[in-house]
Amino acid sequence: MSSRILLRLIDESIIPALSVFLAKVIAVLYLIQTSAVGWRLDPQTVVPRLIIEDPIRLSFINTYSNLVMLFVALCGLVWVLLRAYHLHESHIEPKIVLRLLSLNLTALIVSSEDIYHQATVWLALVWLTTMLIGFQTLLNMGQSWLLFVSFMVAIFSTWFVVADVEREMEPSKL
Amino acid sequence: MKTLLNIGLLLMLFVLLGFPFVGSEWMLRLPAQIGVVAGTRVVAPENINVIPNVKDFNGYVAFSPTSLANGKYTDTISLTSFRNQKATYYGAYSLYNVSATESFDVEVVAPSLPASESFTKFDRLLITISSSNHSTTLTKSIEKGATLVQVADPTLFKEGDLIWIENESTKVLVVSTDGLVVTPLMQRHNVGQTVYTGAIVVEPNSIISAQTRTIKLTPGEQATIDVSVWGADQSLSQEDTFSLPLEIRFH
Repeated sequence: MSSRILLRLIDESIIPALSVFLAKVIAVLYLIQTSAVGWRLDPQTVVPRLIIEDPIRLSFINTYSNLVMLFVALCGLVWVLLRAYHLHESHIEPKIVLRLLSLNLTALIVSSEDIYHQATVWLALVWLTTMLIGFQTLLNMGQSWLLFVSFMVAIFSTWFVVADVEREMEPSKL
Repeated sequence: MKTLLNIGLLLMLFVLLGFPFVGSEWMLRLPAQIGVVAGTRVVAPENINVIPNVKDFNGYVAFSPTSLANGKYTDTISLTSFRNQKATYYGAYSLYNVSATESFDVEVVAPSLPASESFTKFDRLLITISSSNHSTTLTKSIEKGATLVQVADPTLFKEGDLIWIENESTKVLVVSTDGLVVTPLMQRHNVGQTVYTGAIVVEPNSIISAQTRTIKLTPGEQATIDVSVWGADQSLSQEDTFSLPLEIRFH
């Protein structure tokens, strides 16, 4: 029998992964359009790839499209963390439950299982974005300030996720 | 069987989470090579960094780079001249050879002078290129009428070079270990002043010398391009801005 956790993680990762990738594609196309940079399609590849003639503009496009990617991954994680902190069924405040009941929004209340699968996926995306930024910075294809920003974002995000897990594991301290 | 299935699922998860990043890394590339110079050398962009200094000059210098292609970086630099003053923009560009093994020859060229009224509002513009380990400053003051110019590194000069010491130009007759023997100087010059050699020289509405000397950048070495502008004393405004197309050529 297959692992239920893995199946759940796969299920939860499809939309986040697509969102992050689409954010990158849209950001790249927008930046190419607005910065009037010279580009052409690489004729040697089947999967579309853009050749940018100018390394300075390539670095600029990579940096800001990676920033958009990081922003999308962070938004997903923040949404999950907000639900973890305020709408987690294990420690949601009764007055919030009543409010959600009156608005017919009880579907927003999440279980620990939902939260931790989603948080794992979004946190992995934040760290993978940081790794991509680091890799491109090493190759001089991106600006180094973004590596610092994304690393700090990844560290703080991890800390918030861990803090919520700890809160879940020690309910007596609430 | 169960283990194999789970390994497969784990791989699928890695692929799902990894594809946005592999795809992102895949989707943009520089050209495989940026061109052949004089039919002999290929200069790949990953081997050269050209960094315009956009942060040190408080808006008095601006850049408009267009490309790094065919072995040359092209830009239009906007400079500010100040009435009756000399402005020196040290490190207007920094060039880095980031290749681990290859050396490159580099020079700067001013291909043309755009028609502009502002090109009459300075007395002289000098653009020089130097690698990090060389200095061309005077090590001893020179009296009026002297013929020996003592500089930190005489090996950078050769016989016949036209040199500039501040506002005065002269020709190098002999290079010796003591310094440079030149035609008698008309002015006194103080220790520490820069001796310009192999410079692009632009005077009002004319290019006197369109190309700097060529320097060699060894792996890991850095060079800088400095710009000096002597503002005209008859200019009506306190400061004037003008633009000059430049090419930095690698081969």
